[in-house]
Amino acid sequence: MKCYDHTPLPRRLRAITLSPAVVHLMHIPADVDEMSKISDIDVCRTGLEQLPIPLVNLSDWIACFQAAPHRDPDWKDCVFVTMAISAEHTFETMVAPGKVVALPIVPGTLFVFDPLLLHWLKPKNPDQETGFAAIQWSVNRSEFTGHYRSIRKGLSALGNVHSRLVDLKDEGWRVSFPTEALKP
Amino acid sequence: MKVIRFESSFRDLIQIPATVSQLEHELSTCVFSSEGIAELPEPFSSAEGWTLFSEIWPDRVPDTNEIEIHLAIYADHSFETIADGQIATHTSVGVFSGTLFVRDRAPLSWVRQHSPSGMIYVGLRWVVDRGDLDAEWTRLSNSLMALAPGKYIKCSPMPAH
Repeated sequence: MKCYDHTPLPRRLRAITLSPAVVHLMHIPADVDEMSKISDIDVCRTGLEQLPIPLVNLSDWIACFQAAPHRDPDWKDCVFVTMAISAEHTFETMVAPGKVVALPIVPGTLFVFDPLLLHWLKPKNPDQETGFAAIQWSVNRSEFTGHYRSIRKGLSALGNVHSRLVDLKDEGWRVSFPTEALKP
Repeated sequence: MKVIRFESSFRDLIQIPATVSQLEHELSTCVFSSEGIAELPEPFSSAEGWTLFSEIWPDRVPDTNEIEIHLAIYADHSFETIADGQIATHTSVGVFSGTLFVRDRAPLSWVRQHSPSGMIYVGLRWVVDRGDLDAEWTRLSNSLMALAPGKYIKCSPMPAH
């Protein structure tokens, strides 16, 4: 029997999208915009504290054009909460050997991932202009539930945050969010 | 996984048609061509065709009965794979001009560029039935080693962390 007959992949997951009005409040600084056109992941804190966002666990602007598969063992104690401001990408993470969850990322997508799992970010089209720029919170694992709730509450105060459970498309070894699930 | 590195002078033995080289300007995904393969000397002429790409994102074809042997002609990449099982085995092999390696599409695998603005991968690809891999690898590697005596090393993929 093949070992992938038993799948650890989820059938449904929650899609969370911020309204365009909220995204519009998050002005992308010029240096972050420049970082979003370059392949290597870079971080900075330009102007972050002036934005109307929850400051608890606030980490960085994170930007790149794409990211090859990698893990972030230096962040083993954290879970990342990422809010995409500029994006036309797909984020994928390997949740078990050879098993992948794929999430289309557009401006306003809020997603949570474990930095210890293999993950990567690919542009929708390698020739596209749009880079990836996001605001990221690093939340300690042991405090995740409470702090994530604070972040969600702070963002909800700015405008609509759409959250709904969606059925994932099943490709056997990969499940993906239908693109329409992320429309605000 | 099987890997042999030939010296990069090896590529002088292989004439890449201009029409194939031109394909690198149209790359948005992996491109295949069999142009000019039949005119190459043995054993290159037994290849299914040319493969060109800038990178390959993680992908798999779990039930495939086929397996691929690649000879990189121009490359500055790493081929990485994660064996499917209860414990993931992540291995990486550097792929440069003259690297002969096997790509099994069943487990998750990908090819990344060492430099984001780096070299386009150009190589030859053989596709064989899984059960014929050992025989085909032996045939091909022996032919190539005979063409370049002493100008190769056999190596193994490294564990990647």
